[in-house]
Amino acid sequence: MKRTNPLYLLLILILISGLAGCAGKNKNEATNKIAVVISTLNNPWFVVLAESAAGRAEELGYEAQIFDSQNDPAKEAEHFENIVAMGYRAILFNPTDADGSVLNVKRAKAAGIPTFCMDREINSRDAATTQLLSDNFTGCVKLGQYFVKQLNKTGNYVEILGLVGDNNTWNRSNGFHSVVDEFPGLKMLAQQTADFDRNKAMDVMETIMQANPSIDAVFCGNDAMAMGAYQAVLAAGKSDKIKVFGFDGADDVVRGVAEGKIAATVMQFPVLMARTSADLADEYLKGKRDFKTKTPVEVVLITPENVKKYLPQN
Amino acid sequence: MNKIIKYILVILAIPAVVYFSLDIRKLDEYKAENTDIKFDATEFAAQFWDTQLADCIIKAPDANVVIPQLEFNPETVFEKYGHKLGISKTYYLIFRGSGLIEAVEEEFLLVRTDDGTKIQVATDFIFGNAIRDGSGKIDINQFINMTDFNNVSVALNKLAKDKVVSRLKKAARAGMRIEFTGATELNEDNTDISNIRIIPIAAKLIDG
Repeated sequence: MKRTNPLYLLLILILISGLAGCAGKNKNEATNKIAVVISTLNNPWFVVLAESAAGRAEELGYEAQIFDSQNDPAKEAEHFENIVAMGYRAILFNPTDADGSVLNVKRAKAAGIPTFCMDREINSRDAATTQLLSDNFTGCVKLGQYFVKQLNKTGNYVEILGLVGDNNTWNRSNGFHSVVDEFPGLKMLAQQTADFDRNKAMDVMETIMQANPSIDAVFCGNDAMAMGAYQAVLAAGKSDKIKVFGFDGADDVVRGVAEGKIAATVMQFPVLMARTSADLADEYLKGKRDFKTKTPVEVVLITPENVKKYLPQN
Repeated sequence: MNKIIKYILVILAIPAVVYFSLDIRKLDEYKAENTDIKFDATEFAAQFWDTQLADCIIKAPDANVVIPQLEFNPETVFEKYGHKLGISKTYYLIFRGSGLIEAVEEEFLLVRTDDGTKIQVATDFIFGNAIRDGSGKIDINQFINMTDFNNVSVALNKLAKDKVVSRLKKAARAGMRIEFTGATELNEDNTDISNIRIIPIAAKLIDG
């Protein structure tokens, strides 16, 4: 029997996979699945975002699957490849990187899959169908004004930043500084990232306090870091001296504001953002096409003066 | 015959491999997305101030109309004169008025308008989005990211401080009359008219 040339077989395989790829582009309509791609499930705030988005998608009759990018752009890219290959109908997306994630969204768009960004934006006007974003800058302008008044316009402070590749980090920091830098009596002694992580923030704050004994306040880019910073401040016996400010409106920090441990935070509404994203995806899949490119979602400054209204029910 | 089939397969396979390996896009599209032009918020704000905001000042509703409606029918004020950004309970609007400066406080001028309402004309803490969003003329969709959009607010607030507030701080005295146009933010849940604070975008002082 004549042996078949291996090259011949390889060429046939390439052709078959090429034809299969063409067929794949049209298979999205056959499924009823929505993907929820989240930057990290290692942070309770993002768990709420993911579960709210998936829950609402299921209420609307879709099958929802959550993908954890583990703060890794390469993992996120892999998720998008799988989502395109498996024919999901829409993506509810919380990006890992404002620039790096653009290509993933564009690939999904090219495959006919609309993407709805939640909480974090990507630097593109037209890749995502729409982007629902907390108005972080405005929230930190409000926080900054409260911060200035709490310190009577003078004092030394520290800033602990979130992930440097996340636009939210800079929207919050810029909002804060757009106010605080106008007051020359307020001096920033240190500014360091703790990647939105509670334990890292605790370590960072401990180190900063050792080098700078005279700190009056610390502004943290999220509540997880605020709790970490508070732990460090408490352990150093300085909880009466150093005011801690956060951002997110997490339950433990809102309680902390009520108890006098945390000076203030800014509450975001992840459930609202997530559910609205799912609703918008549903509208898109039913034919709507005129979406605004960005929809800011208002945030609320939580201080001891108004905290009672926002205390968690449990 | 086998050779012919082989050649046909090669001819078909090569473009298939190329197609699935490369991302081919129009050059114009790529250039539009990869522009190195940085957004200049200061320039944008300056141009906006001189053109569209000047128009808003001319067309601003009077405090005598806005404030009484705000007290009894705030929804009408929000609908007719207010602008909201995204999902929010905050409305921004621009209105004008005139009245007597009752007191010069550390952070504002306390003005009693001609119909008796007290308004704070801010002279410190000039922050927020009241000017940008109160005009209703700056569309968030124009901006590639929120940083650029927010920098417009910063630049507009700076212009308000430089062009209007600094002059008021130097010259305003209790007992003087003031004609003003200003931007304010109001919340659906709190339309207390005893607490209205405006960022002035135009003002004229008249000796009392």
